[in-house]
Amino acid sequence: MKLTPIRSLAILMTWGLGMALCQAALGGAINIPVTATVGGVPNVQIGNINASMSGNGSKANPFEESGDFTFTAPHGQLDNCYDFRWYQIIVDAPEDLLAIPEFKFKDPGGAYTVTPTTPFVDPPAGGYSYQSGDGGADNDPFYENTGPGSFAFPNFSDLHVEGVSSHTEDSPTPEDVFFETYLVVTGGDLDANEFCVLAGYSWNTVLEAGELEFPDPVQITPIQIAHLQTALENSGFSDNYGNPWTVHTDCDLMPCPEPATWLMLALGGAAALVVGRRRRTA
Amino acid sequence: MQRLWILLTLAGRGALTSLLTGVIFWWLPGGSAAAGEAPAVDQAPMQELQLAIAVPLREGVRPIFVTGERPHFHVVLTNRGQATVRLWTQTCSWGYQALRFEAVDAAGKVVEIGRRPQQFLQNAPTTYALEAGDCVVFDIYFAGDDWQGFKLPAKGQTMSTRLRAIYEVPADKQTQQHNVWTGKVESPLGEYRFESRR
Repeated sequence: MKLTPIRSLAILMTWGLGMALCQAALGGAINIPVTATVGGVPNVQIGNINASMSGNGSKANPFEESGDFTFTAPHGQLDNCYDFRWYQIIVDAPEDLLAIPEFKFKDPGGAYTVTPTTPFVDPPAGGYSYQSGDGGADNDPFYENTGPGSFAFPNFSDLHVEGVSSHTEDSPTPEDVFFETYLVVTGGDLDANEFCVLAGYSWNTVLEAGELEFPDPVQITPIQIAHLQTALENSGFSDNYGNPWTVHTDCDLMPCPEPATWLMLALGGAAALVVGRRRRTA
Repeated sequence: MQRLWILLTLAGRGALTSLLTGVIFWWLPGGSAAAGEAPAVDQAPMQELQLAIAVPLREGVRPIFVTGERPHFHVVLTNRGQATVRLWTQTCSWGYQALRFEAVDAAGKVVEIGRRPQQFLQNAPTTYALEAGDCVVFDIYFAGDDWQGFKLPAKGQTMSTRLRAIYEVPADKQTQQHNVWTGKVESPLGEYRFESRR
């Protein structure tokens, strides 16, 4: 075929349109500052979340969401006392999709018979039925498994660098599902079955003319917290299952010096005591 | 002048020798790899995985019984190589359809048999390791809705089918990132007799 100027222009325009469509499907990334009350001081920025959403159109993973929380120095020390985990819920999805066998939850007897009701925790207690052949999920409400043990999705230790960062990712296959992903804190002086919400973002798998939306920050309000509590109760994290969890916000995180700092303080105190006694004896 | 001529002749012979050596190495098995290129540590060659439909001969046939609540047979994937290979788990979307079957009729017509398409919510590329000599057994619940394409006999009847299992993982960004085995391995084409005892 002879490459005439008109043909060249047509090829260029087609390429440009293709590139524009690809760009449209690629989604985007946002940065969310993470603040908390630390040692009674409110609104301390302890880190940032970088959340992104993309789509590559492949059969195995048409959508890719990821979130990375990174501590701002010197607040990585909070990781000495607490665990910074991810909590993900599904707020809306087509009813016929939720009725399919692979998405059944466990009933209190342990059989996969329960049809999900939104909002619900992703994954529910024990995981979805499609995960059962590969260890399912644990009975904690966090997105990644607490471990130790082998489950269908990676454990917290695989996705976390102590004092540095926590990672989350998901590649859901169905369209028209609405998610919310939250960074939460657990452990430390919090009760065993409770966690505190720090920040979150919403994202979805809706394709409007081939376009994906950017993740969007979620405002943490009392209504939102009640919504998250409902999700826990809809997903096997309640008294009915003997596995009650509660969610909070506005937690006051205590500063957590590193063990070496505690040791230095203890040694300093001991030295002061010894010197004081000697002076008194003299 | 004579010394210079000898030096040039030797240099010429050296170049010819290098060229010949290069050609010989190119012809040797695996010799096409670039010099100094280290083989992947955790990746066995494709032929080092072996796939088998684990249905032994009984009275001269390989029977697969259609009986019980969840009738099934087994497919075994064995690592016959020396190196550990990493494979996708079946509960992530990357590995879910890695295993499939082909049924070949008397006329040679091939019918594809695959796992039914499935949706995933919590989904990330996850792997397991198959060490040298290790095997993994796949349960094939052929009579339920897990698989699409198995032709089964009517109640109390039998039906013979020529079957082969295929395990295939195409290379992509994720297989590279997670150092996952890629390629295609097939079991021998064998004749199996589905026997309904329901």
